[in-house]
Amino acid sequence: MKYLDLDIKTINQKLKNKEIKPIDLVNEAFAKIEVNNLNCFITLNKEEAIKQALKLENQEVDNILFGLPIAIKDNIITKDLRTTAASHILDDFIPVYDATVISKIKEKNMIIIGKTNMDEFAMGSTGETSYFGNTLNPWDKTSVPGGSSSGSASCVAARITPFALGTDTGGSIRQPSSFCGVVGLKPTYGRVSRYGIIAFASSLDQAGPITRNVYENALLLNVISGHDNHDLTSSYEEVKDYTSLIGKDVSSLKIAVPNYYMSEVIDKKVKQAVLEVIEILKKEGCQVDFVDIDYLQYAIPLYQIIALSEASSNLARYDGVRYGLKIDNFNNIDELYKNTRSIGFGNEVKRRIMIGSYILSGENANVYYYKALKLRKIMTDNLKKCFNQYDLIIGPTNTDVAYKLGVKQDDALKSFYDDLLTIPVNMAGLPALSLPIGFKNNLPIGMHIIGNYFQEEIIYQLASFIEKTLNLNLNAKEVK
Amino acid sequence: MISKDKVLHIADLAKLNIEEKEMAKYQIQLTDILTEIDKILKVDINEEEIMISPTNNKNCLSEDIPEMHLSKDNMLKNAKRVKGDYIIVPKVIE
Amino acid sequence: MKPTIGIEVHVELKSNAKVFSLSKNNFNDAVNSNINVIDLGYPGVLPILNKGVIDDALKACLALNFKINRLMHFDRKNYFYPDLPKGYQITQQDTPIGYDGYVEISNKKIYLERMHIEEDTCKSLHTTDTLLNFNRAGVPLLEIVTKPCISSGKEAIEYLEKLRETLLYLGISDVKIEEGSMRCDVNVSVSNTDALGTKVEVKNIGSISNVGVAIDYEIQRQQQLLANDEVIVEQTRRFDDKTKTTVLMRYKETGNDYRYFPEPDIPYVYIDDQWLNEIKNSMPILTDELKSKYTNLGLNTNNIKTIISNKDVCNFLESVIEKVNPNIAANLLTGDILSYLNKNYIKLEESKLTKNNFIKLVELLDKKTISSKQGKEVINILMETGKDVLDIVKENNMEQISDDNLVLDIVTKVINNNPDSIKDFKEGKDRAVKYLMGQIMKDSKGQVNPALANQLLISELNKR
Repeated sequence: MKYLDLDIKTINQKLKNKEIKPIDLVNEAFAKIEVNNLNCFITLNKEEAIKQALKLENQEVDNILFGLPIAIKDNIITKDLRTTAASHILDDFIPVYDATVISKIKEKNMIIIGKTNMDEFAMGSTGETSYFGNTLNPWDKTSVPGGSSSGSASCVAARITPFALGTDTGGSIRQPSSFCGVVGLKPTYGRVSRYGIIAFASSLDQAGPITRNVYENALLLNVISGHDNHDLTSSYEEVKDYTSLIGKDVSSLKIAVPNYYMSEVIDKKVKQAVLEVIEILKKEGCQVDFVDIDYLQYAIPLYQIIALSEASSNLARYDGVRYGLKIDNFNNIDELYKNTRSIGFGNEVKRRIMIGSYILSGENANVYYYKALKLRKIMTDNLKKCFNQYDLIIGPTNTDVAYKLGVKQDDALKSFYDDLLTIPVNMAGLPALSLPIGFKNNLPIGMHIIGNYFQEEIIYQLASFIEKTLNLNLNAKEVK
Repeated sequence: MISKDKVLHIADLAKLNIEEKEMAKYQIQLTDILTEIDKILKVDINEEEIMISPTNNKNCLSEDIPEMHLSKDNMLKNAKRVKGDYIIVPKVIE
Repeated sequence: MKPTIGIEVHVELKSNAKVFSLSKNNFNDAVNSNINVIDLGYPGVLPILNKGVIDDALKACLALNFKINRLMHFDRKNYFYPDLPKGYQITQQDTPIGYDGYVEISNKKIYLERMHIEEDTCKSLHTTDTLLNFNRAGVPLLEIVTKPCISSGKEAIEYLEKLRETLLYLGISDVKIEEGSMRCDVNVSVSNTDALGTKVEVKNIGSISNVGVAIDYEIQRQQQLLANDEVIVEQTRRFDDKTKTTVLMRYKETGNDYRYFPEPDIPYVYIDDQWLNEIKNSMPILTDELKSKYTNLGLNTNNIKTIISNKDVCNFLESVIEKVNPNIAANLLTGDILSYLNKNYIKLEESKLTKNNFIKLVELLDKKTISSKQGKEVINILMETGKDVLDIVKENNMEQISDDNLVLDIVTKVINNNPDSIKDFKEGKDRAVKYLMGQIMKDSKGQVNPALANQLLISELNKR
């Protein structure tokens, strides 16, 4: 019983042949959860998953994702399945509707195994801000798995489920994917509906697939993409078959490497791994140029202003009135608010709400916020300009590999620096993927591949070429 | 360094309690971040257009036709203090 | 000491659905029945945008002479209050749909600073606890703000009545201040210099006439303070209906730090020429136009005023005005018909009056087939029974004899029977005519057209 280590095409064939049944996969996933003990999950959907798997036995295997287990980040709303955003303030919250992405995966008869652990309200890059304790990195249990989609990345890395959904506001899919040696894509803003994604920063948030390999990532993107009337920012752009260019010749691709992504803050070994890939690409015939893209250097302050301001507003609804944490010690409405929120939110979340409130307060909105929105426009225009000449932008996903648990905990500034290279992508709304390209001290190194708007298939084209060429063994258990 | 009064004002806007023992930490951490974001104030730009969101969508409108809703029980089931069909809060004195 | 007054009006639109969700827009339905996950601000939800609300707002823009922000976005106004589910209200701060408008009142223009679209809060009921009804959460509002250009309570009342009338005729709101579908806050400042005085806001005013009372009270209060060399403090007061005064409201602790920023969940709305033209073409006739039309038709001022202030009566008149004598129609509607409606507390459309019957009645009166006194009787029967006018007239033998020959026959007969009266007439005695007319009416059971009979009688007498 190690079906979940097989590739999806093989599993699909075995399901079709009735060689295995969905329940076998579900049982294997739950068994692996126990063995691995990574704290990947906040809530398991065991009873429902088994029920669904048994029901599927009598149904035709009508698509390639049929009956396959998937893990869902716990800031994605699942009807009748507890959804907490890893926060005490929502720790008994049972949603009454499904997020659009959930409806879409349910239509394909994928089986939700559980809700994955994460940084509280997706605020953090280590998994340590979760109310339910930190998630472990299957490559090294003393290192962080990255965040905020910690459980989703960890659970795919440990081969508990072949698929997971994460969300990415400043790097929350790509950074943990990089730290855990899995493939994670943040789609173009608007490609995937945000309806039912618990909002952190509305103009940056985007849900996306986390998988073991590039092809399976594209398969999941095929399913979750598309326009949604419930999300006015969701795009009308036609959904493509994102696997269509996988395996196709890459020699005509023009690739830019921004000097910002290869600066002295990047770890030498990480940089070396990226340079090696660049050599491979050049040999293949790709044009690879080092370029300057101005204004990327303001990514972190821009992010702090825009993301935290939006967050301070998005998290105002958690007030203990209509849902969420119930407290008893209050004498008036103001105490009800303050006590609920002070007990319900963790330190990182409180700090970010405070900063966001400060930035928007009084005259500050004009001084900081509107200036940031103009700078965001300029940064975006500069990135767009780059895509006039190049098909893709590449570089490392992170400045380094996973670091030890505890080192960045409760540090106001450092946690943002993990997102140095990933934030510009969210600011502009571009699609980007993290792909494992090697190891440093037995910890995976991630490569960042950024595409032009709605051209995820070209990202996958290059990523699959690199994946195939490097042919790394990425099964955390086997490597160790 | 950001003042205690300022921290308290922001905490009140955000509806959070700041205990005295946390005050110093908040002052330092907020100051650190505010120093960081001050970087953008020095950037000279001649851009007037703001970018609210990456979306290019415009005029995403629904027709004025009401839709069915979820049942009332569904809506109230997560509320912690309910009286009859109402959600209740401590009396707000006008 | 010159007072300066500005008024902020909130008007609830009567679209079918709410503005940022498609829940039904009817807060009078069962408590918490017209709500969905968006109205309750559930985690993960996003707003939609109801086109009908923008259409309504555009109509109001055109009627109130606003310039229109063709490219607009929405903003979030952030504050905590139990009636505000998301902790922010979606509104329009940077790009209000309308700006620089005006309303004309007698001899003056009231300048309007802005009008924007926003969502209503939920309705709070204060008992031992505060009870929240979310039916109203997300109901569309227009906020209309004047420039500080109003100088008295009387002017304020005139402006509000004009505004109410306009919005009512647009058909976009019930504009009932007593039911909360129209709400007024006023800003009053009095200054003894050229500079503007300190702004005092008065909230909670429950009727248009009380707006006038509140303003005049507040002007007087502030003038008195200034006269005593006291300082006026910026504050919010509320109107107390019992004492007809304003009283200081308790402060909200955080003041007005609303932390506005553009709403990222709702993309820009661009109003192109085609959209605007569609709205222009769908505009109903408004009161200014109706007033001049009625004046040109010769209706008297009182009738015009009464008709305009009763929109259902006005609508009825408009639907028949091409087919009838407008003066007779206006007299009937504003007279006997309106008093019947008022006496019975019903609306015109709830009564038994039909257009067809009304047109027939006006025709009978216009041709003098029945007398105006008979007209009254017909109306009473008509309103009670809804019977056909011609049947009523027949059943009650009300048809007047207006045929020249028939009347002449009766006149001749009566004169011949009263030779003494001819003598009296020749001698210049007035009573002769009166007597003979009495005989004519008696002979015809009151059915001859009196004017015609009188005319023929005199000419016949002169021939003798």
